[in-house]
Amino acid sequence: MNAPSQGVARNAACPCGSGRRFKACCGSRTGSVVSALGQGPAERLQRALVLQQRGDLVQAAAAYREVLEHSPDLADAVHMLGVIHLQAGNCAEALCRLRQAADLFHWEFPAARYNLGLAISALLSGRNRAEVERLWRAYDSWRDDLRAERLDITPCVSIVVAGFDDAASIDAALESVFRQSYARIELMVVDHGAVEGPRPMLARSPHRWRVQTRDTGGIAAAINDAVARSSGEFVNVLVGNDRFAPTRVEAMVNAVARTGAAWGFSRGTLVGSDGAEPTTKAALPALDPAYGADDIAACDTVGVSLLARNPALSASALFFSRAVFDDLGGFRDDPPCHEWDFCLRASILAEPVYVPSTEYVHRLPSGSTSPQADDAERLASQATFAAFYDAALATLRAENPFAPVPAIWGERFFAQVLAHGHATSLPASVLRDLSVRAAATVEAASG
Amino acid sequence: MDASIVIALNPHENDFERVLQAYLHQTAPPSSFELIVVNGGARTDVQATLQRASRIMSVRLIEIEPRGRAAANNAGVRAAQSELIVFMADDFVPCATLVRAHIDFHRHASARAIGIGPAFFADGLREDLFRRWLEDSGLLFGIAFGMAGNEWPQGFFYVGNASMQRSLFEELGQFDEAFDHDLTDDFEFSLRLRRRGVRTHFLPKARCSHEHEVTLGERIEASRRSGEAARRVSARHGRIAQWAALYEQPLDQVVRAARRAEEDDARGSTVETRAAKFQSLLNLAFARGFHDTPAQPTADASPRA
Repeated sequence: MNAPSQGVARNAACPCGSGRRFKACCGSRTGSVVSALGQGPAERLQRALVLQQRGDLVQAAAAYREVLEHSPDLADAVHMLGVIHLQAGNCAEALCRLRQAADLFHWEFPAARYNLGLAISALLSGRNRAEVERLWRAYDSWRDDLRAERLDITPCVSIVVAGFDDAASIDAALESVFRQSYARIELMVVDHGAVEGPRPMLARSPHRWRVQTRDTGGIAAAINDAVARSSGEFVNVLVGNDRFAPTRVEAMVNAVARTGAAWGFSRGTLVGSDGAEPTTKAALPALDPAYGADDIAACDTVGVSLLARNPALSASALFFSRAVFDDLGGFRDDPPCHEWDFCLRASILAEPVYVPSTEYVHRLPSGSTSPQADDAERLASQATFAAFYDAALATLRAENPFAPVPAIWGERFFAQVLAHGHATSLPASVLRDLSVRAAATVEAASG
Repeated sequence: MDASIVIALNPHENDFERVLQAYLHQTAPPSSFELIVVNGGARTDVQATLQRASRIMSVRLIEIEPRGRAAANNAGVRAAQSELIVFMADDFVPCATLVRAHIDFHRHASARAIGIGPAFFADGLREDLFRRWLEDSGLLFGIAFGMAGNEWPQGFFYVGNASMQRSLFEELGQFDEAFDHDLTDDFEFSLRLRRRGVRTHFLPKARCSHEHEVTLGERIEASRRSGEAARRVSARHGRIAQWAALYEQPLDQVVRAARRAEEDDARGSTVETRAAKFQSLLNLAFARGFHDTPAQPTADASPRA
């Protein structure tokens, strides 16, 4: 039996599926809309919302239709009727209503765009199935080749240590580098002023080391500068207050360098500044990093998993060849999630390898005991994805045969992007165009 | 060996040879998995097919007393050689990447993660309005797989296409053999896994074609039996939010709603009135099943080893 939802608490996820809390989404709009309407329509709209929250979708739909008989252009009623169709799996009708709602909202209400994106995604997800299955098979074959190939190489790995809060953090980070089970390491430490204390510690480094003094510029520029001055064939950054597991470099060399892959990333553990695991879970389960890490292997490819979320807790997750770094021009300070931006752009060049073992610890900044999933973070994610989207669209021939771009995956790319809630990052013109394509699939299916 | 695929046979009429053929054409090497087909007297037409298949792949037939799907799947796990168990329906034809998708997922995910693959009616079967509605509304399996990429309910579980480590299966207490049909045993299992904080993941590459000409009459009967089973589940787990809206309504209200939906559809049939009619008929069958079943807990409500 289908599971109707219960009444929605203000802090719970909004039933419209936007991924936001109810009070910050439909809950914030409906009150003001209701008060702007006359007594009769206001009561009808309120009743419809209550029915919808109670999970009585049939009655709620009837109530919204009743509202629309009197106020046919009431965007909220059109929107929520579209959401009900979406909840009931009637994607064709949902598409029609949500497209109308987006127009009525002048494409400015994020939840309406988000939900329209979900309807489009559902309709496009079954398209070009044969081609998608061919890509899945080819990917399995590529993975088999990787597994079979074991290069007898011992590359020099440059570890770039940057962006530390204090001497204690850098001590712990350096200690984690000194304890690596892999020997051929070159250490580059970016000095922001906190390094003076650990110089005696560097003196007992088992690896060749250098200190790069840098007073100005963002963290991305500092890392880029240090990487440019390093000489290893592969690079791993160690940032913030993070630490490596003792097997970190060896595991990444085995999984990436020795299989002929160009870059990859590993699972990490998140701890608060006090060193303990966060006491509060992410607001929504989908934002839980441990669930996200498991989900990488569930996706079409590791590269495609990057469309869903940032797989890295920090740049310390990444291990890449100098060639990839040079081709990308390094990290960028803008867009804001620079490690995710790096991953997305790198995925066009080469398919990443995912190392499922926990090979680094990411410590939250001083005073933090739990990850934040606030508006600022959401906006940063949107800006990062928007920057990638333009690049993905412009990529007509990717070097990575499985690159997460439309030229490779066709409509599945858009289905994935919209399924993961990126509709709010896309221009309205793109959503309009995709809704036309989705409508065409409905027409084709109905003959 | 990386995986044991457990298939509990149901009294289906699909071409089981086609199902087996699809397991022969997987991207996972044949040596990496075994098939365990468990027959509780459900079918008499598969023995020769399985014998032929056993010459080219690792496949075993386990015959048991007819005690339902839960008992059959538990027997399959007992016979399995691998630590990774994949439960598959006998009318699901797997795509070439299915077995590999389950194996790869568990190679990379936490030991307590569960992988779930989707099943879609073949295009020809979707031409029927009822089947199309049943699939898209999510009422067939408890989820609309077409929408699964959008928002995956992390506590969802069904036994048609799901994988987990044997240790987790045993920790959760196996399937409850008190459920003697091919219904609700997996839903009840999902309640236990949710309670233990186990989460499921959607594996799009473990896709199946669902080759079953489901009819309205068949689903009405299945809904009635689901209602019966829901009474048993409620006795064990308390109020089930997913069903409460239905079974807490007085039966005569559900009857009236069904009558109204039929009348609406008779007055002027549209896709919407047909859908409302289908929904109300299934609701009515479920409610009848629930209310016709005695309220007291069953004598045997705990899983058997």
